[in-house]
Amino acid sequence: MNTMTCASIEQNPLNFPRNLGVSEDADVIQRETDELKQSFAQTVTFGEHLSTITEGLLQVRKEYSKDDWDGYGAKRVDEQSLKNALRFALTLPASVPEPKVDVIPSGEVVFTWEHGKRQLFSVIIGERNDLSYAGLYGATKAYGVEYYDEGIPESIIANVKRVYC
Amino acid sequence: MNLSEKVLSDEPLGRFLTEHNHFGGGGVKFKAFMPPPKTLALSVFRIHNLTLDQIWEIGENKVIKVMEQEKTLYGVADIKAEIVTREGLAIKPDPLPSRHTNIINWPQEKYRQLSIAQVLATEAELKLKPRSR
Repeated sequence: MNTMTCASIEQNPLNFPRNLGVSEDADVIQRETDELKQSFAQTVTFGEHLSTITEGLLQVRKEYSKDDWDGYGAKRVDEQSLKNALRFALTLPASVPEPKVDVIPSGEVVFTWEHGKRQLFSVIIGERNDLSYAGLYGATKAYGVEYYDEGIPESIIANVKRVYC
Repeated sequence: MNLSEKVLSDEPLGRFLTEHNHFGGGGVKFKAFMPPPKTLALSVFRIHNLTLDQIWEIGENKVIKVMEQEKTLYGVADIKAEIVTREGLAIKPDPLPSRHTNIINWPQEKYRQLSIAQVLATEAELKLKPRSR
């Protein structure tokens, strides 16, 4: 079980800026960056963390592969949302507890962190890199939308942190 | 059966649970209350003055049996009408099947739908259907 304190969440060390170069040198840099990411992913703690989330994504891909999976008209899981969710998972800080992975009736992947009945935070991973989120912290609510480009927005990390404080 | 035409604020509404992860940890999960994307109308039943056996009968005969997919009835999320309207939603009774009602007026924004579903799930009481032997 991952334990964490409020202060322990940091940005993911694999959160490299996106390579915008077009030269051969840029290709070399991109290849070396990818190799570095691979070696990080193979460390025990980091690898296990990612492995659990990716297993969750594979599971929901299988379980929600057909329309109307809930009997109430839900859409089958959206492939782009799955891809975006994997990318999101790859840049989650290792100190963040593993979220539960699920799919909502719109077919989008949702990550949820829970710590008690009224302490939870969920992020819907949209197909257009949009992150619709909502949190419930006792009597307080928080919600909004962010856009995911090169790194996970600070507000998302702050809300995950808030679940455990 | 003496239900008023308009749903009263203290009336219980039942959202039938058809997925194993509609509930967990002794409570209802927000996923059970997320509206279907096409209609944004959440199907529930008025369960006022019904015994649990009568509730299961409605769930099996009016929900599970009419679904196109083969589903299992796991239980029901019991929520008061006033909690639904407090979140800005409306309750629109259907003529058929009897006791059927839709929760409508959901906002278009996904983050608002998510927030409302979280509150409804937290306020709902989970009633699990006993498993058949």
